Amino acid sequence: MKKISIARDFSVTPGFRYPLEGPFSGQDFRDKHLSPLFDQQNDDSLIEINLDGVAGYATSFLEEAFGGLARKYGVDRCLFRLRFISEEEPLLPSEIINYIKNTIKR
Amino acid sequence: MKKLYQNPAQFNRSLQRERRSLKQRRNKRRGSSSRAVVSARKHAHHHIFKDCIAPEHFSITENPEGTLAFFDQVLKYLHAEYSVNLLLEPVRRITPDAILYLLSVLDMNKAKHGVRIKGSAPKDDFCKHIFLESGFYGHVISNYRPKHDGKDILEVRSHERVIGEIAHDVVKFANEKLKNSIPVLVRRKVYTTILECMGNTREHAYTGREGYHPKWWLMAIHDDRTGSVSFAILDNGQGIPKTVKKKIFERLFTSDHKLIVSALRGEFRTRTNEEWRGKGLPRILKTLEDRVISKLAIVSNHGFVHYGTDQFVDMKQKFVGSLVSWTIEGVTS
Repeated sequence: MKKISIARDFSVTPGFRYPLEGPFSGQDFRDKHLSPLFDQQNDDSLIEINLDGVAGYATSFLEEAFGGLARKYGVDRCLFRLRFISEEEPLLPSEIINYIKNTIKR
Repeated sequence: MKKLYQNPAQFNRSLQRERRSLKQRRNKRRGSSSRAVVSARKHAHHHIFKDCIAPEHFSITENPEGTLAFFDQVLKYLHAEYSVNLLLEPVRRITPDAILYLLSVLDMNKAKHGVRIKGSAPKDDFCKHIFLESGFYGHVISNYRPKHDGKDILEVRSHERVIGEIAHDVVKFANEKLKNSIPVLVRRKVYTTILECMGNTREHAYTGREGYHPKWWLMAIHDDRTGSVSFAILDNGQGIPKTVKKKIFERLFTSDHKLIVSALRGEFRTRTNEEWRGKGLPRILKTLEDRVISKLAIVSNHGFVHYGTDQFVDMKQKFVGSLVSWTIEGVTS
């Protein structure tokens, strides 16, 4: 299982949605840490994402990182592979799962 | 040489052409000379200082009518390209929102109109201290060296982008002032609230506002007596009521405060028409409902929404942009 800690591997101060809006954006995180793991079609190994240790998250960061990933690689594949853990904000994993599920355009 | 015309109609057409041409030449001459006069007259205003007297209770969230009347006057003079004399002596109570709005309004208009600003400090020692500590004078006076002791006031920060590090600093300041009593969950949610406000400025507030660049202004004050920290963040963008998506009948009939409340409730108001967006304001409301923050107030255009005092109204005066303010309290064991 691949383990990613956002605080350790990316930033303790995650930013907003797009790089143009400021540093450490959701798109940056997705492109650097998640997309490379999803580019290989046959790889269905699990990925554990530790959400603790950061200052906090903007909704746009989470939506673009994980909802954006689901728009690119499919909802089912993301839900199957990603596991979220957070002791500091226990409701955050379910919120992110909702972002992934609600990516389909109205 | 005299022109020859074959018939009266041809003569009339030629006469009309001549008259039109003469009129255009005359208008052109008049236009340029009147522009020169107007320009000279406008620049002549710059050396005239107009007095603007601040209200005793200088707070947009607590005294919106009196405070915005003062700002209306300031803006009126600045737009007419007069220099202004800000008389702050009467101020006896102040909240961060008023300092931020004053700074942002001066910043926006000073460069644009090339006017000068001068003024006087509040007589009240505590209000004077807040002005000094906020870094206000460093923003309005060139070569001013602020004497900031960082005791109870986080000096004004402003930026064009969403900067997590600044939000993190503000949260750290609040936690230190409240004797490190803020639980990690609360700290994270306050960070989120600040980021959502910065992001809204960057993402929506200045769309379609030509000649202006996105910029937010942020400040926090610790009140030792109540054991709380108040935050305010604002921008001078188009305002929430103007940037949210409206239904057809709402374009004519709805009020600004209702649109703000609707956006806070997440009633699919996102301008981008993408269902996964527009979650920032609902998140802020949720943080209030979870009792992480209190006294949430949002002022935007004519809308005034204050969950601390249960005021949901439209104001006579207009706030240029959007203001979000809230308070957190320390945990006493």
